Amino acid sequence: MRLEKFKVGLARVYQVISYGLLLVVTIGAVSAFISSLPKLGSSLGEMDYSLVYDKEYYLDNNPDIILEAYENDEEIDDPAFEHFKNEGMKEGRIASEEFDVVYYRELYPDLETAFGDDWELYYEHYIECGNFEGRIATVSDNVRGGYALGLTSEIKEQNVVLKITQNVDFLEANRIYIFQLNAYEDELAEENLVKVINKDTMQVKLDIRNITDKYVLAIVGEGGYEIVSNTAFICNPEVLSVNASSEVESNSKKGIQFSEDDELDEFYSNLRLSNVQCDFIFEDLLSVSSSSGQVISYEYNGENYYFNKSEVQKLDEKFAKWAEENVIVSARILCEYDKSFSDLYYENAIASNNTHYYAINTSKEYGAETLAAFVAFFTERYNGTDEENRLLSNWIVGSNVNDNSSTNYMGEVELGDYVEEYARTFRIVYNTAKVQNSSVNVYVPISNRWGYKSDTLSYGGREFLNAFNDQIVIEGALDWGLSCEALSYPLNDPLVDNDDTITLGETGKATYETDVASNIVDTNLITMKNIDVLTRYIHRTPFLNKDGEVRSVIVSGIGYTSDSNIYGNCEALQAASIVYSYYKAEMNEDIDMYIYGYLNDEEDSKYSFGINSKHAYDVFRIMDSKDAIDSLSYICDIIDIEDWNEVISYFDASKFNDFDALPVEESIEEIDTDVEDVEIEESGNEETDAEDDTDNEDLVGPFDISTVQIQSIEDCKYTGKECRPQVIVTLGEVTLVEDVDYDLVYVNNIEVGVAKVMIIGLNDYYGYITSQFEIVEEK
Amino acid sequence: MKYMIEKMKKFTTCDWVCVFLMGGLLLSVAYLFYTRGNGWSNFLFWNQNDTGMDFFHSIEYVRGRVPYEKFQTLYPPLANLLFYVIFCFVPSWQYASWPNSFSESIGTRGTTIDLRYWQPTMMIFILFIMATAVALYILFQRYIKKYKTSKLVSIGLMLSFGMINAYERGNIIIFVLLFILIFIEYKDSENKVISELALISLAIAAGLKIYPAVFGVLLIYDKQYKKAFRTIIYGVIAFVAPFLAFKEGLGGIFTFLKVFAAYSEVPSFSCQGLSADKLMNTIAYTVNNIFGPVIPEGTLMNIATIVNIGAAIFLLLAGFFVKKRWEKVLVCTMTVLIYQTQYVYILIMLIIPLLIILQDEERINKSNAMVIVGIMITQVLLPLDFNYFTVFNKQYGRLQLGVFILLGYIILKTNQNISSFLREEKKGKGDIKHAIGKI
Repeated sequence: MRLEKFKVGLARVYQVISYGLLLVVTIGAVSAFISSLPKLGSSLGEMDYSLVYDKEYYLDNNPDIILEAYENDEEIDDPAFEHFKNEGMKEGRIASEEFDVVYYRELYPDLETAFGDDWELYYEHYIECGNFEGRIATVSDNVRGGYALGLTSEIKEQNVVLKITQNVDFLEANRIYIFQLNAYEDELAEENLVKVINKDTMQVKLDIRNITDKYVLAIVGEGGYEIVSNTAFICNPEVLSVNASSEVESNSKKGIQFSEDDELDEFYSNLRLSNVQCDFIFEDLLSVSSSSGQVISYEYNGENYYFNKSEVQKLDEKFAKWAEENVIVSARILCEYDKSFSDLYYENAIASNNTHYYAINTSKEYGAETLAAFVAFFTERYNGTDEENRLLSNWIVGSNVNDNSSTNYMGEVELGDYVEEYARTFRIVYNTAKVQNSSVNVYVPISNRWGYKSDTLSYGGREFLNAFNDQIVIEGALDWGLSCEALSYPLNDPLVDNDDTITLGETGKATYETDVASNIVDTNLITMKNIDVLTRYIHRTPFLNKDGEVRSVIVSGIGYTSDSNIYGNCEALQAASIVYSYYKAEMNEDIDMYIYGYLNDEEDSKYSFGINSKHAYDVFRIMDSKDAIDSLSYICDIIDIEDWNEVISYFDASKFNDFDALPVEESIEEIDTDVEDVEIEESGNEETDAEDDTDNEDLVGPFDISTVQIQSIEDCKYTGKECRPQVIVTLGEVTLVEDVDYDLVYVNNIEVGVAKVMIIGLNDYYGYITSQFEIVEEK
Repeated sequence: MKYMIEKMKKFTTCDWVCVFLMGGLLLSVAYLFYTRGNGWSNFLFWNQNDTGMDFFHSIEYVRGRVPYEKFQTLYPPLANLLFYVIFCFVPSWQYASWPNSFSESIGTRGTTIDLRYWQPTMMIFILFIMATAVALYILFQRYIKKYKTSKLVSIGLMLSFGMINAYERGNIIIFVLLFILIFIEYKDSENKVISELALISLAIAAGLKIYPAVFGVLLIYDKQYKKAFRTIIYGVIAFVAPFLAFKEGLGGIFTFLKVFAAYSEVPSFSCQGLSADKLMNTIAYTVNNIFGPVIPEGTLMNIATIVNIGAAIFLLLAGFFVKKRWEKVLVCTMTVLIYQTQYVYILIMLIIPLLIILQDEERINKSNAMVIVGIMITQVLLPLDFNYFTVFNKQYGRLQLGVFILLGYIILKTNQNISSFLREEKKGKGDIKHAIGKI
């Protein structure tokens, strides 16, 4: 009987539910019918792109887009929108302040699982679903944190002012304990407790102890102190600075990496550089010995540190010279392995031949304090106030720091922990340097490995930068800058525009990677071909500085080989790529410096990135001059374009007018003379040079190579491989020598048809001339 | 006209289905002709990089026989075993340079190490699809052979909306459909061996995709508890035993469950799917668009899991209150459909109740018309834009309409049967059995 009653009861409940459900299903059927009708009302019709697209924003923040194809189509009203729909969405470009597709993807792993790298789908999802579902689309929509209390720390009127915000309505404690810790400390020990406040206190004033100190709030829980706030470092150390050097006015963005081994100061001078980047090797400049006469003693925070006197004096000389030439100097802090400094490295970082540089262990007192002293010493020494105005303008904290394995070795560690360590190191450098000179800039350097997934030894540049930025924001925003080593890819192929494909690997075997350097926001590599991806990325709201401005960017370590197993000797291609990459940097308003990485070829490298004594040297020297575009017009032919706007949409020749540049004619004369001198001086083989000179003994250069005669070039039989027929070039009765007087660049020389060869002057010859030959099919 | 009407009055259910399917097919072909093939681009994945995605990648993930730990695959071990057998036909030089992780393998689509790039693997794919399609055609025929239009309807079903998408994805759901159809057709066979094989067939289907296990409830509806018990045993064997074929061994069970749980935690990605939460989403979307923001944004995202589980439980219980064989099968199919958002190939599951309606009811009547219309709305290939690749598109409207109609039928029917039972109860004569027996 009871069972029967239960059945009846269940049936009644079920019936009531089913009446409700019937109503729901009826409404659902009507809704589904309505939504299946095309264009019934704006919201149910076409996609509403205004949620993700704002024309003005798109054009302002994506200057690299090429709209020509859309502008030529009369049926298209808004070429920018068509570009966005057809290309921009696929590349993950941000087209509205209201929708940051990168952030949207990062915030929702369910979308990432579903859509993967298909960026277009994220826009469509937001338009069709995400917006309606109330998903967050911009950083400003989201509240950072995770702590009960938010904490910031800044200096005001010679005091540290801590500002506390309540992130939750209810905090289970009345008293808040303020701890002041050294940068390397994490333990909430009693001696670090500086004040106890009521939980409603919003602001606290403390005395300044150390500029790299950090602060944290805690309550007393069951097991002792429990942290209830983020850690806060002082985020405006510059207000304590007694010195603010005036900024060096640069003529251009052109710069080069200074290598101590080069010992070729005059070459640096002749290149008319605006920027120089040099390496400050920790172990070379610091000394463990305190023997007087050999060291310079420096007291910092009550401790004495010793610097290698001879090395510092060498630097003094360089800085004096650079100051004289108005060159902006950037210094990279690098740490090589030296047993005498074993406490400087992380415990898990075991010395290895494969490791170039080691991370400085700032989680220990020795590393943190020594680094601070090191930075303070040099920033103070080169603050532009001495008689010779020696000035260090920028610090770069490490090299390719997203590569834990070889250039910032810390031992195997997950990205989050790694970034926490690096961010501390960065902050020590930043705060220390800013106190010495408020105008100094501090950069975080990343490699060109951008979109790769992170493991415990190597981190994708994008993932690293995201994590680094988050860490810095949480602990107190700083004005950091970004340096990127935008090396070409593959290294044996100097051409810029084919960085996204590999036709031949270094071993000669075909490889399969494609689109490694594309325009997509998470492209695997950043090279100078797609450097706009990087600058676009830091245009995003989360990466803007405190004033809402885009951060400073340096492109550095750039190198193009002049000798390749694909092209053989390819000095002309190297020169062309340098010009192309430089123009890209010069025209990109977000990039402040272009640092070419190599003056000379490195002895132990299989690539010939150096420019010294090569055609590239001449080109490098003049490429930032106002007449450069005309005099280097042959570069366009080498890379097969008619106009620079074809490859750099925002190329604007008028921007060169601001430069105090070398006259081209003069520069070429100087180049030729210089190169001749160097050849004699450097080669040490005067007989060879003498022989070359004999051939041309009646000739006094420079000569325009377009005046030479070219003997007719024989037709070539089609083989499916490159045809390189012999070219005989004469001037009067003198036969010119390949690689000495000229360089050959073959174009379209594989398939049947008309092929082109360009003869480009070297040394005593300048300019270029082209000739043709035919590739014929074998009968 | 009169002649036509007279003729139509004599139409069987199969004839009507034939009209729907063939009509849609002809319209679609005409549309493709008119657009010179461009219509495809609004229907299919847009290039070959995605052809047979579920097939090719599944083959790749069984290389090395560590599918769960290494590639976090979601397929149960029996499915992976099937793919491993197929993998044994793939020349070694094709897979030698394949990457070692799920995410990297996605990145190789369209490159020369993509299995699709090579003819031998593409032929394996084509043969797999062909063999399964032929087997399905034979089974369809077996279900509806009594009708003159059976061949046309079978062809129409082979080219229906969900089927085209299933071919393109190379999803083993077409293989699973085969086993479920065998189960339903032969589970009540008088020949004990065949009947037992039918149970094993369901166990295999569940071993390949898990959710076909829902069809086992049919045995409970019919009070065939012993058979249900044996099916569970077969199912457990079909699920556990194949783990031994992989290097992960039985420990792989936990890895698989972990991967499965992690996947289930991720909310489904589209507001336009066929699961219960997505159906609710469509209602909320339309209501908000017409009446302003009545339903707060984000509400449904938070209750999606509850909605889906609730709807599935409701449907499974509804199976106890319906009488006809096709109604019970429909209940099981709808449970599979609305429990979790899946790609549109899941619609081919609706072919099962359709075939049973055709088998059991020769004429259209008030009862089955609503269901046939509902199923046809979801099955007919129509020349409407369906950008499959984006998953958000207007054609989902018509698919959801079909699903709502089918749900409506189940609720209506259940309601009627319960009302009838309660009336009987009031008269003091009834119990559930009696009431349902009377209806």
